[in-house]
Amino acid sequence: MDKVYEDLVFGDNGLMGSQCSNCKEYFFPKVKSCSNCASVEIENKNFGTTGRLWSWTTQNISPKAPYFLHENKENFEIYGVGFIEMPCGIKVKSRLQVSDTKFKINQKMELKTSILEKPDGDTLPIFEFRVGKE
Amino acid sequence: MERVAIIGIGLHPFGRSPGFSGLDQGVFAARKALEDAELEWSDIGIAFGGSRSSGHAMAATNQLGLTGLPFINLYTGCATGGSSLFAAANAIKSGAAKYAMAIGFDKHERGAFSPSAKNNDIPPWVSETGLMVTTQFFALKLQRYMHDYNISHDTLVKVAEKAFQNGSLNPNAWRKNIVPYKEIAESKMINDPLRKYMFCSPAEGGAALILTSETEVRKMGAKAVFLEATEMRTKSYGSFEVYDTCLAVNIKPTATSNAAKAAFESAGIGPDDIDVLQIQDTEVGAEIMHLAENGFCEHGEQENLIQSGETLISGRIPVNTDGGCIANGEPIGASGLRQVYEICLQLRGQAGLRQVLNSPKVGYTHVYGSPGVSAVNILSAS
Ligand SMILES: [Zn+2]
Repeated sequence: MDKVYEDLVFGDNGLMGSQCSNCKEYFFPKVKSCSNCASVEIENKNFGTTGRLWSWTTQNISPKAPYFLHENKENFEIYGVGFIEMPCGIKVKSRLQVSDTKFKINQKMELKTSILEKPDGDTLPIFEFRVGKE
Repeated sequence: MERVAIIGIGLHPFGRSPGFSGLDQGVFAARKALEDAELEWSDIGIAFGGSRSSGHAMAATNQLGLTGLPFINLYTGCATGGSSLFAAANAIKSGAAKYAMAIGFDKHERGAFSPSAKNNDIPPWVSETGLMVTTQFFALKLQRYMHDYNISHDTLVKVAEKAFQNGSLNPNAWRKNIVPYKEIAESKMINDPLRKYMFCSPAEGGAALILTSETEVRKMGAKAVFLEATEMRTKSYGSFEVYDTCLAVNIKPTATSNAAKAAFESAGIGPDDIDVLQIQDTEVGAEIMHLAENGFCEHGEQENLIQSGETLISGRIPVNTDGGCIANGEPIGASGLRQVYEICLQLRGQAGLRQVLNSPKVGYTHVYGSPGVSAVNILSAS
């Protein structure tokens, strides 16, 4: 498991980021210093598992390397990308599970983690958000 | 304060030029600019140049002549050309040289750029899981903007339609063919709501500008376009910029808004005084949103402005008269300089079939690049 990535997610307990101890701004993923006030006093912050869709798009063509989830263009599957506004107000960028209906700004979204297999056999845990029940 | 003057402009046609390297195209543009200014390369006392895919800009001196001048390579993403001009203008202001050149060129491979996470201080998983694609940023910003300010899909198509119309009047443009409304509206979806013909593509080309001081222009008795302001800003905390992995609780003005505000303040004029403008149109939404961020309208007013044809060459605020990035493509090093080249042509009355009527007096350029860089210029004919 990718250690850097492991750091991001608290299993099913929530998405992990940072909060500046000085100015209280939030960051995702974790940071070493605050880009608002430059403080290095940073605490871990659990942003939770649900939020609201702040904006969204779809990725309809395969990104170039180092994107590896679909090694050849033939297997490429469209995925969504969005910013999810978490209860504290930070908006985090995430993959979105594409559903049958179009995404709607402000709709409820739920965190979902899964393990993806890299072409080299290695695995990478990823997080996504999917449309949640209101 | 004494103004900086642009006394020479040169461009190598944008698009695809088989057999010519990016650097060759930069050298071509530099020679054109020297010819326009009636100067020799040996007269240039300092140069600033940029290229992303075609090597070090300084290598152009192999062809132009190894005169030993200070030549500084720089790179600020898609805003590279704007930054070269910003640096060259400040070199003239400081008295570092009598004549300065800003030069840029590039020759990119086909397809979207593949930005490096590592080079941007972003964890590798962001690009590995497909979250670091430049076009996604524009789509995400636009989707929210359309929701907040009621911008229609029809307006997106109209911006692309205008770009190709203007490009068809520009012999130096890459895309010289008009693309019909229906073809744009039904082209392949890339990142919802943005479709294939709504984007600019990486391309090839070269551009160069020669600068001097106002005093020198008077001495020479030369023709010139004057820089009333040249400003550059990088992102400040809380703004929504390309590659951001999170957005702050309170979203703040962009690098573009901050650069534009500074430029109008330093020029002592307002957006209403601008007769012709160039706005970074990496895709149609960028042109729409940047119009308001630069101060040319309120957020949301673009819908009416574009629907009523105000941004056409014949409109009240003609935008991207040469076809912009959408019709010219984007050779990164040259793109910001191409914008200034076009405004100089317009202010000199040399824009041919796409000339804005009634002799425009004041022009404006805005370029935007990753990871949140904006450079703007205000230019006047006298
Ligand atoms: Zn802070």
